[in-house]
Amino acid sequence: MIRVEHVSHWFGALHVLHDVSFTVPAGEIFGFIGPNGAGKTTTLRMIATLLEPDDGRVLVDGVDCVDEPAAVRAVLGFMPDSFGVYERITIREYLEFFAAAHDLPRDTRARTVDAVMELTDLGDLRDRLVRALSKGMKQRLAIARTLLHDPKVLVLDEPANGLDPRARIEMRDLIEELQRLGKTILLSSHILTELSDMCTSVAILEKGRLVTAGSVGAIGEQLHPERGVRVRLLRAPEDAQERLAGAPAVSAVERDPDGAFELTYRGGDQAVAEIVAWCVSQQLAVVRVEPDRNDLERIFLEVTKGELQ
Amino acid sequence: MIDRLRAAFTGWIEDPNPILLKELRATFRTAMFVRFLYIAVGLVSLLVLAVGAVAASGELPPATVGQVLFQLFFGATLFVICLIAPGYAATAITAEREQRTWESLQLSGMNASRIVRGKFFAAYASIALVIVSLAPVSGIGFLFGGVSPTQVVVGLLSMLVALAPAIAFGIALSARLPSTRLAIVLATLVYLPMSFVGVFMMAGFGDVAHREWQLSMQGPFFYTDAFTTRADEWDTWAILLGGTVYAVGMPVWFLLASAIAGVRPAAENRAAPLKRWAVVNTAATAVVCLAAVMSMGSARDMGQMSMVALSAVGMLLGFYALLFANEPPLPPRPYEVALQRAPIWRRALALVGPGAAGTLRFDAALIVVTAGACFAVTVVPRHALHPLWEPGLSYTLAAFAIAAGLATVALFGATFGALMRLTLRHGLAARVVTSAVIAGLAIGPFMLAMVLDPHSLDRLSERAPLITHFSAIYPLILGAQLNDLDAVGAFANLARLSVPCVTYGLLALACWATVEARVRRARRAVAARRARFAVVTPEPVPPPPAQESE
Repeated sequence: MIRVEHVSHWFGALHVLHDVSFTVPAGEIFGFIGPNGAGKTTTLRMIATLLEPDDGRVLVDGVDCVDEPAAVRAVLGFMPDSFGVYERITIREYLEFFAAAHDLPRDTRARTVDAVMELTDLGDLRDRLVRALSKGMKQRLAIARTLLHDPKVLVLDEPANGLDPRARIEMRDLIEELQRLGKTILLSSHILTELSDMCTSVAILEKGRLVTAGSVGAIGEQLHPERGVRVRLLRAPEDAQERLAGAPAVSAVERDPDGAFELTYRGGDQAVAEIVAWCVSQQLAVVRVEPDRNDLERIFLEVTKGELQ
Repeated sequence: MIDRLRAAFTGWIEDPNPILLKELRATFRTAMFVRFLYIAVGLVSLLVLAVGAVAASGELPPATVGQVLFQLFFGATLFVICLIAPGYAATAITAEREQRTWESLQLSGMNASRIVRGKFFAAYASIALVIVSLAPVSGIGFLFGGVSPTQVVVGLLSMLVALAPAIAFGIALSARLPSTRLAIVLATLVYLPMSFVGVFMMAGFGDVAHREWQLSMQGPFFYTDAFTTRADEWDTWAILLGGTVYAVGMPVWFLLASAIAGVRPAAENRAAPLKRWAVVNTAATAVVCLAAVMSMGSARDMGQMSMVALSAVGMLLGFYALLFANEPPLPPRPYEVALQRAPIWRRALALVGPGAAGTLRFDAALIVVTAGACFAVTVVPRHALHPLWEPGLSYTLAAFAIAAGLATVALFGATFGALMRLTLRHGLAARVVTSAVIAGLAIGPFMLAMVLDPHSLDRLSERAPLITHFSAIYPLILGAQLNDLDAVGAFANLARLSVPCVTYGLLALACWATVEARVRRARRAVAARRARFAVVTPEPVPPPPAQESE
């Protein structure tokens, strides 16, 4: 759905992007990760047609962002990292303004605004002035604005930035709901734990260069072919460790002081399912299975050097 | 046609520009705006009442007091407009940029012209409300007589007309400047003195009209009297209405076109709104030149008016030369992509389309057509009405010298400006350098002549030294010389025109050829770069090997 091909960009003498290429497949939540100053926002602004690459090209839904920016804007919704809102109008007026700006037909405009407010949980606040909204609500309003013309692609730059924990969870739920509605979502964030919960694929950028891109599982597997899973058994028998060592794909088993078993295995989620099936066949009463979490955090720390440009 | 106009009007009423609605809603929720309305009405009322009380206690007849209060009211209203409207409008686009709402507006699908129109009408409506609030104060003049209701209505309508350029000026600055504060200060500081000049000019016209049309009212608001007492005379409408349309309408259009060009991203055809304006402005200028010449009674007056008109047109040609000196080498990519699917006539228009080469061709054609049209309309009527007037040919040759000479200099300015833009890669810098070069070429030869011989310029109107023939303003001097000669002498001296024409013509051709060559080179470079992506497909980036932990 989004193809970034060999993109380079300079701000004066500063080379901010070096030959960056990646692809965002349709229907995915794609995380764009990198330290501050890595070039994430520059790349997102190119995808949003707000900036022309000095070299390379960017395609959204098969359309070149430089050749036909209007066609790209018709299928894309963009929420920038820092954005302003019109403070002295109500939420409904704000959304009606953008609906009219998008030239939505007059007879369907009110219905679309209602539907978008419903989706983003802003319906109860429709007559409240925008300036009276919290930061989280303003973020929701910004997302609501990007949805008015029913875009296929949403590009969200740091959507959870500055939100409290509840608002972050609500934002994550909203993004997942949007994915279920068929949107392709490209988002950048510093909060890696959240991205690892949501994203199916990621691209990691450092110093304007793409360090890695692909699905989280595949990258993790390539970086660390062996992964860990923590299994807790109910009344573990004496020979539990030996029996677990015989499970498919398991290369090592250790017992924690708290009684849980740390299994090292090769493979992805399929291997975990097979380990659980093995436990059941061995009549081991499994009460909890915890695959290693925060793969993304680990990947990020391993592939980046923490350098800024 | 009528159905289409009706549909457009109905659409405008039922579904107005969203920016207009949004801005008005926000304005009326601003307490400061409402407070300003109260204060403005209060202060103007106090001023009119105080002056009225003083004037009425003197020996002036009541009708004169009424006229004084009338002029005072409209003077104060005009001052309020000129003081606040440009600064108010100057916040329109800069505030969007500073509050970081501009990008969402850009991505909303609204084009630049719709945004600028919405901003213009919103600011206009807000300040028009101030005028409407002040309107009842004008009734104080009625207590004394000497002023008719028609005059008050015309006066109020003229305030609404005067508001348009003030708002357009603010919007144009707002589209170009990065900071709201700077835009407000600059808009107010520049527009207020300009408006004083306008008022003085109107007062001058008022004096002439008072004398020629026997009006009872003098001063800058003479037209209210003219529309009341001379409403059945064609020249009232032709001069006052036609003059207003040209003197107010064209600058407002230009300022808004400039604002649209200013807010359009670099990837869009920025010069198009200014090109449309320039074409209409050329036609309107030709009509005004024709009207100015036709309004003269004698053949000599017509001849002299044609010289004055063509000298003024020379300034317009210089303005055209600088106006389009901000084009990038190549047309924007979306324009070229759309052109591939466009009908053949549209593709033919691309010859004078965006990009340095196309715009230079347009500019050159515009300069030649403007000079030619204005020369024709100022000369042909005189020959038609006074075919036997003896000095007619000398005047025609003088007008030709001015038109052809200044057009050649303007062509040099346009081509040099385009070349500077490509060299310096900065529109403003290119315009400044071009202006400086033209100014140097205008004054330099005279200074050089004075250095060589301090008395060489003593009899400039009769015999200008050869070196001054190279000056950019020499055609004006030659024109003044030619119309004092007989036809044979004028013909003989017309050869002097070849010096500036050949010099600036050759320089223009050299600059033009360089611009075209550079554009071709840039096109080849871009084509080569784009050709790479016709075959390259992205490959997934492999993850790097895991780093050893230390």
